[in-house]
Amino acid sequence: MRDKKTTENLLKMTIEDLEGVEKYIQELSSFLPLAVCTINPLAKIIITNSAFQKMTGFREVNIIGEKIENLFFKKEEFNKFIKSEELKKGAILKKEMVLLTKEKKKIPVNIAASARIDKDNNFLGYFIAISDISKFEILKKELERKVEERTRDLKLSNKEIEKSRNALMNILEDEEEAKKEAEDERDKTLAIFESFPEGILFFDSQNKLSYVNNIIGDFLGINIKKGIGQHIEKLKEISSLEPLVKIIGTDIKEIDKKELQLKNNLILEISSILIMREDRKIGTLVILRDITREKIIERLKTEFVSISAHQLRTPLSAVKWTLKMILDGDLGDISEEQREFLLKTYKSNQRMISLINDLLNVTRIEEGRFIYKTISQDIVKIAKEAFISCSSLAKRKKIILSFQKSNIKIPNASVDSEKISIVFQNLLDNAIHYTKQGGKVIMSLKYLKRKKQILITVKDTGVGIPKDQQKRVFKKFFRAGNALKTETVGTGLGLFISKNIVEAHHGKIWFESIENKGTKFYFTIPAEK
Amino acid sequence: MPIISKQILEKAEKMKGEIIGSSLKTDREFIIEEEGREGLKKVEEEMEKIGYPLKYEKIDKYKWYPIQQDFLSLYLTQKIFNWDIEKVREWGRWGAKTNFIIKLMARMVNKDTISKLSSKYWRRYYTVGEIEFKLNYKERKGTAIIKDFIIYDVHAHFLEGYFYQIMCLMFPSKNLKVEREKIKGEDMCEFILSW
Repeated sequence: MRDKKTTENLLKMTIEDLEGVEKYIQELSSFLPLAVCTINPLAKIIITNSAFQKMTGFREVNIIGEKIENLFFKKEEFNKFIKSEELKKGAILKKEMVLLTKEKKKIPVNIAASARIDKDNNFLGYFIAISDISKFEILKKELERKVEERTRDLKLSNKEIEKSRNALMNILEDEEEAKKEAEDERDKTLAIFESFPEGILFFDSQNKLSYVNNIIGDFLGINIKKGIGQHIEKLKEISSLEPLVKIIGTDIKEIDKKELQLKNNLILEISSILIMREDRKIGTLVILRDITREKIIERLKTEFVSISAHQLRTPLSAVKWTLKMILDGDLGDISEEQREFLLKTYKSNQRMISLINDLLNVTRIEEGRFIYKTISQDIVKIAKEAFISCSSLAKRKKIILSFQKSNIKIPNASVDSEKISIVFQNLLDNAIHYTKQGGKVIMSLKYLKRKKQILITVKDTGVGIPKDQQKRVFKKFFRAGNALKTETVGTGLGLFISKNIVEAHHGKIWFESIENKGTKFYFTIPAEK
Repeated sequence: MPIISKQILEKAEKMKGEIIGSSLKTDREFIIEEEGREGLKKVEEEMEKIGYPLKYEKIDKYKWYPIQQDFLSLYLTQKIFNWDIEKVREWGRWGAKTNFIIKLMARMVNKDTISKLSSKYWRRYYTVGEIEFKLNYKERKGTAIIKDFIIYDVHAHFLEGYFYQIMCLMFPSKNLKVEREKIKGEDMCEFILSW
């Protein structure tokens, strides 16, 4: 048996131990950063620690005896969790919930719960530990936001890429379509060119043969397609191409309708055109047209006209001389009235002969038989003779006809005087015919020393040539509309013949004209050295 | 004029037994909570005046103190601060909430064990008297009878609050009620409980 003193000492020690334990529990509870509470089987709070009070905002004295579910935003969720069978079996369960503080602030928390069982296996309640995961939640949300943002960006990027891809595909499709269309168009154009009756050669800007159609091979008798890509200088070495290159030149100049007889039965008309794009030469197109048949027809026509004219001129000459004899009184006297009629008939016959002569001259020109017998001649003298022969007509029409001589001596020229006379005659005749009464016709001669040319000018104050018809002035049978109204007489062959005569003498003919004001014709003849 | 009557002092003198220091400690906490340290000082001064000096700071919660200290400090505090009955009940609830022994008890006791364990825990508070809980779960009511213990008005109201708080932990109902039935003699008191 222990005595009283020993018992008191033991009790004292036990109390000291108990105080130590309580103090230790209090210190631990205060220090513990984790919010902890004990709840009884009714889920009412019995004990809390400092961290719990800090987190919830409740003092212990105010929260003890309160149901813990009131601290959670979703009470049912908490109750379901706390009543879990697993928990009662001794498991420690965890769950994320939202804590509701005294100030009704919501804090995302992680709850850990463990059931309390005494030594007799009685259920005493639960330990609850609550950890604030708001920072973690913020981080999680931030991470989720970033992931979402990144995902959205990626989706957007994907969409953009998809959009760009589609746009690109569309462009490619369009491109493909355009390419196909262009190819179709090119094939169509090539097919047209291939079946063209005219021969076509296309030289690029470096004068290399870029395209040639089939008929060229027929014209030249070679497979010219082999020459594609070759420079014209190289092509010149092919004998059958040499005459063509001679005409167009190795620099491929622009030419208009030059004739080239390759064989007896093949005459080609050569034209070349520069192809420009925005002031930049992209190449030259050479067109070869087979004019053999046209030439044959022209020759036949010329022969027909020539034969007809010859056949007509003989009876007309006979008529002319008969009339002349009657008018001269070789066949007896005639009355004034008879004379007048006979004179008119004579003049008409004379015009007919003149027309026939013109037609014959044209046929000769076209047949290349308009032979020029050139000898050194005084052009002034020829001009004067023509002037004199026209002066009576001018006088009749009351037109002032004048001849302006040059102060400088005009040298002789090597000409066919008969043919050059025709030019003077035609120009003066036209000037007088198409100038109204009281008008002026001035012929002048000038020596262009530097050019060594004689320049002849015939100026009138006549009806002029309408601007839109000026291009056709030197064509066969051309007569201007206003000229037809003024003067019914005329074949329309004079200027055609004149041009051919001047050019045959290596000269040049041209004019300037303003309708209703007058016309000025010029032509040059090379002077002798 | 003295705030405590001669009769009360005489009654106190008759009291036998001791109370655990932790109970006086919780009284101290409540007085500070409500009236501040100045209020606590007043109570200490009045206790000294009547010849029962009480230094709350020096109280050891695991030591036993004369039961008169408890009775007289309750009586004087209520008088000094003119607390009404409800305030005294609140004091009792506070005591039940913060007392370390009650916390230990609350871990162990529930509505099924309270009848069996109440006497055991009473003894941890007081060295005299007994308590008996009789609960009718069907009718949701019961009694708590204290015997061999001198009960006075302030103490009775304090215990109303005390039992109310203990019931709060044991019953889920919100309609808890604790009322003193009557003082059956000088050393017996009955409380009617319902929930």
